[in-house]
Amino acid sequence: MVELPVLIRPRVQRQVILHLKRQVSEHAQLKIKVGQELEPQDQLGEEILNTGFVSINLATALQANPSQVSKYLTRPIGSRFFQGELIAQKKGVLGLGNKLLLSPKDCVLEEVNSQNGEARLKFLPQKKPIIAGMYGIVDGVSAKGFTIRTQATQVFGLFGSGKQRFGELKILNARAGLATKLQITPQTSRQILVVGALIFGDALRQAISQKVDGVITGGLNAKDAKAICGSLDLVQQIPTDIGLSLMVTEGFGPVPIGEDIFEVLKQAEGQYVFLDGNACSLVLPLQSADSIMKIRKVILPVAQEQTKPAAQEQMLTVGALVRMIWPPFMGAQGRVVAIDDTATTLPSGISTFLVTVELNTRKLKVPYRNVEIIA
Amino acid sequence: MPTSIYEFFSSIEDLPLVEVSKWLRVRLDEHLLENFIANRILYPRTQPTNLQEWQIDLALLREAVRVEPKKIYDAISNKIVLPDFFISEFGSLKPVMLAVLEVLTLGVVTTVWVSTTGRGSKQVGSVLTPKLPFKESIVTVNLNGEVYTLKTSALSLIAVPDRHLKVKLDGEAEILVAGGEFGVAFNLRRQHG
Repeated sequence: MVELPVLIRPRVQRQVILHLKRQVSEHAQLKIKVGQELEPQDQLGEEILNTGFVSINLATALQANPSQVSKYLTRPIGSRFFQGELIAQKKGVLGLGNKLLLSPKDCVLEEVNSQNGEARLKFLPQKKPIIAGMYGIVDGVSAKGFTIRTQATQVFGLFGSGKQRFGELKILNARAGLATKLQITPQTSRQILVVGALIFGDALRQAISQKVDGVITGGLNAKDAKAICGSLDLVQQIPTDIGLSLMVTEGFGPVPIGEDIFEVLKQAEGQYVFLDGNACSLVLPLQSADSIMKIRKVILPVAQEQTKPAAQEQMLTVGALVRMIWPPFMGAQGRVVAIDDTATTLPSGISTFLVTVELNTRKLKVPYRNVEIIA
Repeated sequence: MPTSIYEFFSSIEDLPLVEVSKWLRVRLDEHLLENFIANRILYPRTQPTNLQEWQIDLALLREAVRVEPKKIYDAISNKIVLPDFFISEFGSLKPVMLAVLEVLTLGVVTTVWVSTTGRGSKQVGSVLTPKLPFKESIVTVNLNGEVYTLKTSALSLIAVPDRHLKVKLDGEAEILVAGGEFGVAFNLRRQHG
């Protein structure tokens, strides 16, 4: 029998005990210790987030001369304003045509430029609680973060971008859906969205502006991928962060999310999950309190870096569960039902061995190199 | 070790799409071509399932050789050395050689070799690129006593498995070249650059 080596690529590891490293900001205050057992609702500390500043043109907002805008301020420069408070007001004639400027967020009025009428507002630091989000045991604490031993299902993508983020998982579209800008609404803020086969570039930009935490997609256009990740070659890609975490599971262009991954995501909808785009890893912690008993029994070395398992070679056999990595039906999954004993010459003149793969709705014969085994 | 042109050439990701498209009979939308190339880089072992995909691979090979000729052509020793997986990737040696000859500027006599990992290289033929001003539209070539009439504006390939060949063009001195699986190509087209 002919030997046909193909790649086997781990995509889903179900209910494994693993270390999840949680990174925190420089000014975080942690109140945990090694060995502490955690429940999902436990607050482990606080992060102080500096949310930046904004410049607003008072001259435009108040329709006033730039050199005159200071006289319309309700309080002097250096004052604090809470969200919605009146920063400046220019009264109209007979009470008509009043111009108001309200504070967009809690901030300090740092300065007003009398040459161009620009006001600079520095947002006040916000305290954000650090929630455990899982059952687990603390195995390590440092200035940069902490390590939790937990039981979780881990999903690996092919490539991605973005640091580790934590958010509610939301299925936006079916496996083969296409995510458009209109679907990214203020309601999707702080969520990790499963968008289907493709997210368009403008929808991604909308997701960043709407403060979506993460996006999981089957495919991404090569042009967008190159802009985000720096290179199409996975070996040459550099860690980046565009304001959300992104994980691509299948390839370039519109490719439906594989059934193996989509089933896992569907079951976890509504749960809080951890998406690390640069590591191409999605961790879905088990929500069962019983998991702590198993976690206690398994000891993992703390120094162990969680790396994505590499693809390896394995001989293709009848009965193997495979996914199509080339058209037609790229992204579809099925079982190998037959392997040809003799090579076939394709219309291109290439000689190769064909395998018969049974998908949900059809059987097709493809070159053996156009499938990968699903681990 | 590379097993595909997508692993062998480092420039494929950056090849100008408009230059690749020029080689294609049926033009593709730029973003479709871009996604095709990206998926080939991501899954370099995959094989084209139809003629159009194969032609895109061949177009990419041409452009990659044009940008990185030194990967396969040594101008000092006048040798073209092709990794053996080029042949399995495109089905046979002939389309690969005809593609690279469209973009390489060669010396008068260039030997063609195929290298196999761990087993060295094997000579499979030669390419003759006479730097002569041909006045007529055809030229007579004597190859080991056999006479061939070739067009002076074309690339002609004569399948000759003999290892040692005596070649004589009209009015020129006889030279010795090697044949093989590829044979001898006479590149009588006008050369640029």
